[in-house]
Amino acid sequence: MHISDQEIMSRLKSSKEKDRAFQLLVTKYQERLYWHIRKIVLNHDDSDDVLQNTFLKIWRNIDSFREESSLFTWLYRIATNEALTYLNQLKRKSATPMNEVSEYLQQNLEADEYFDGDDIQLKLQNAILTLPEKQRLVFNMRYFDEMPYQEMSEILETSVGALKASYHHAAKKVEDYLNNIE
Amino acid sequence: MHNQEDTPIKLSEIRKENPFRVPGNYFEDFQARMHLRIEQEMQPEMKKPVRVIELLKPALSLAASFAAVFMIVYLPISSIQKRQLASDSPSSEVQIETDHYTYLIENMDENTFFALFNNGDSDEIPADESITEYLAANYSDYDIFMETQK
Repeated sequence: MHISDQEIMSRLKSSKEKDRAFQLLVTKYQERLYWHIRKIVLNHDDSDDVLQNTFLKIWRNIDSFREESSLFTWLYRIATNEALTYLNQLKRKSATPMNEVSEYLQQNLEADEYFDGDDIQLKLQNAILTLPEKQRLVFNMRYFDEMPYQEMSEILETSVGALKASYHHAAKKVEDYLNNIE
Repeated sequence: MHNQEDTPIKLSEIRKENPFRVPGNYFEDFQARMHLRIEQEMQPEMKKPVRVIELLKPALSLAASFAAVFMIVYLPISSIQKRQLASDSPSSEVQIETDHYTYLIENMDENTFFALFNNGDSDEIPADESITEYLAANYSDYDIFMETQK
């Protein structure tokens, strides 16, 4: 059943239909948001927690959503923030620099029973983990999701030019990593 | 290390596939789990009984604030004012003066009192009868005669 964002929004504003409309929103966006989160935090269990937190935040704040951006953009922004918050919590808990968090994520990925990638896929994920946080986001959204720069610009609140440059640098670094790794 | 003489790996040549997977029926179950979690989130708000004290709390806080302001501002000011009044007209002095006049009046004989009372301040002329009575009571006929001969 296809339902438009506008239809979901108008139903969410009605107190009688709010619960049902939210279920429709979850059904429509759960997979896209899950995969977006999964590429950032990598592990399935962590992604599940982050996805639940994302929808909880959406539920709590849906009344304050002013529709200045599209629903899709708003949801992606919340999911991205929740995923980055999770990584920041990891950093605070371990009191270690980001590269050690990357090592933790790398080990987590290798131990994750829900990772089916072959050797080159594992190397690719490890290469992505070497990127700075923002470049990781840009690379994942562009390379895997093939998201248009304009949409990325609205979600990440960064200019299209800066995103293109960021992706170019990220892709170069990933290729260098893949060509130089043992 | 990757041999540089080999063809360098290009991102465009890597098969773009999703290497991740999820447990079976994950997305089917997720919605139900999410629904439960949101119900839990809403439960404390819905089931919490509204107690009278909670309704009165804002009014009580306001009253307490007013009382505090009263205690802090009004009482010290009124106490200062009272002290100021007391220093302007000391009650002890008033009391001493009152006691003094009472003492004088109590020790004064009747004639002196009336004389003081009528000490030329009154323009009222006593009646002839009262003068006659007064003279009869206080003076003998001889005294009166002698006075008239002076």
